[in-house]
Amino acid sequence: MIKQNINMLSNEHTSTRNRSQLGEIWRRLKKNKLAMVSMCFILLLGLMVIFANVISPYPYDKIDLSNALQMPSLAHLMGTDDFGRDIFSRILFGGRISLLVAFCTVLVSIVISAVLGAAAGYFGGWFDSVVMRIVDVFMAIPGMLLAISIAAALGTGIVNTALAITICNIPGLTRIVRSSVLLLRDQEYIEAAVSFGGSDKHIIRRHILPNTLAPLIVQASLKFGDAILSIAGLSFIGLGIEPPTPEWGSILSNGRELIRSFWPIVTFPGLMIALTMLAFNLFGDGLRDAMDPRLKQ
Amino acid sequence: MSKLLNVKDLTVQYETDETIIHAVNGISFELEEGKTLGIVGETGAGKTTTCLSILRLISETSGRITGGEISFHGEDMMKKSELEMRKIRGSKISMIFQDPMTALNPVMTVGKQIGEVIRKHQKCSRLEAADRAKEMLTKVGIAPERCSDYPHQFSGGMKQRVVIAMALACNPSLLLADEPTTALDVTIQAQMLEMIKDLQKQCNTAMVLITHDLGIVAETCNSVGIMYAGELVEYGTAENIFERAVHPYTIGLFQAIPSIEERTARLKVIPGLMPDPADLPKGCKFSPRCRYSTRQCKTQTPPYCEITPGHFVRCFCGDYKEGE
Repeated sequence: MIKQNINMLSNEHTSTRNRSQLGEIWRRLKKNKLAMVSMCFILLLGLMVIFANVISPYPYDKIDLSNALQMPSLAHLMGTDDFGRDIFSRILFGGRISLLVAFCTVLVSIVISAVLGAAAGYFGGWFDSVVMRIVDVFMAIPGMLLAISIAAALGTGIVNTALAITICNIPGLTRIVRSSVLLLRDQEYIEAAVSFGGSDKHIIRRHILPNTLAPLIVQASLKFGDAILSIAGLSFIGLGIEPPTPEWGSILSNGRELIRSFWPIVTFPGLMIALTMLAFNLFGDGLRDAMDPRLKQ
Repeated sequence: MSKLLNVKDLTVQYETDETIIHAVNGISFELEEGKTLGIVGETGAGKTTTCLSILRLISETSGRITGGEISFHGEDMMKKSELEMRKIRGSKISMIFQDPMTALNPVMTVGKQIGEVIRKHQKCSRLEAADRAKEMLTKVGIAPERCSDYPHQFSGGMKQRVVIAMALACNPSLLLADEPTTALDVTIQAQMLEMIKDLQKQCNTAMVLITHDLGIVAETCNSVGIMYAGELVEYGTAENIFERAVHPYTIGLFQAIPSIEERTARLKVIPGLMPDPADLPKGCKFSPRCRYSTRQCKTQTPPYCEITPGHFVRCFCGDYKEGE
């Protein structure tokens, strides 16, 4: 009799099977038009910069003074700058640098802050105090100012720019990870995992970190936009990527003197920075809503 | 039969900034292999704390086992290192938690969660662990295909089945069941108990069953301990407790059960509330609520005496019985 009941019970829910959490999130994300448009834009941008050498009509550093300061036309989609370089090509190759540096900085800072935040939140005690006080010190300094001082101290260049932005990202992300770990630590399934003989390392890796993944992924997509803006900002003031390597911020900065007489040179890179930033922010917001359905009903 | 678990004078305290909370005050009991001990008591009587201290899971920041001995398979658990305890937890002693809704990790499939416990304690490959997990799921009456489902896809009763499967995955010799059926509705409760009893027989596992429900105790337990304010007020075989209860608190508990035969407008209740464990009364801790309390009860702590072999009572009334 009981066996029968048991069998009935186990078959009762089979219809809901095969719908994993990821599928559920994807289904909700699809409903959000803005997020989907942003995602398409990001994917398109990604493809364009990856295949920049195929797509771009001219080499990014080809100087052609006879064609300087051309207005946008079919030959030069976004016009040419004061050296006659094709702005479209420069933006494509510049995007490569921006996106690559942004990707690396976000990845590295997420990994470091996940480890730091999880350890601080899980163990508490003096380790937590030390980590959090250091984080507090870093958070007291405005992000851009910190990046500027790090870049100024270490010198310009791609690696140093990435390092500066990574260091700026870590404190905020560490706080986010720690706060969600603090919430998770008191959950009964963590206690249960301990009661089944789990070691600290095992519990952090298998039970705590996977549960903090949702806020982390959202933060990653938001930080991605921030990172692109920071790279552009640093390059604009001459502390980021060195010319002649094209970068959105440095293209913008080079065109500064011509801002009143020749609009394409600042408009297009500026537009790209703004659109990319917007796309990442909208996508990040959409992702957050999709992962936490209670937030937006 | 040999003694599997022997708890002697266990005392646990929680410390806050201002006060010391006396959660468990010197309780003793023993358990033989394959047998079931029921611990009954009100919320806050120290039942869960007792269980957690057997696994040495009292959080070090606030709580402390201040005295007593716990021996398991004849080995002193208090002298074990954290690493040795980790090996015991889940393989020799496991625990079922009260609320199945929160006792499973929401981002891991149930098959993986069961497999993890197995892989933690037994050397086997991921595939073997997955097979064993499926086997365990079948044992608790869940179709093995469901091992790749997430906890949110299960109902409460089925989650509790998964928790039980996890707890029994490594054939532990002792199962601590902390109100395993409280969060479930009555029909599922019966199924669950039947299943636990069944599996217990199969694996020859001893069990400490914590519950509020005397009916459950009557059905499943060999011996019973009644807990009040961190003390065992009465402890003995199920027959002793159910037929020859002596302690006024135990008697009060039985009187509070509605009877099918008699028509009563009101249930008999025990007046008052359990004392604040940070501020326990002097003498007998039950005396403020006891109908029979005397001046002696309010000043002296009653002895824990054996009125008949294996039947212990912490009450002066035990003295009188002996004197008779």
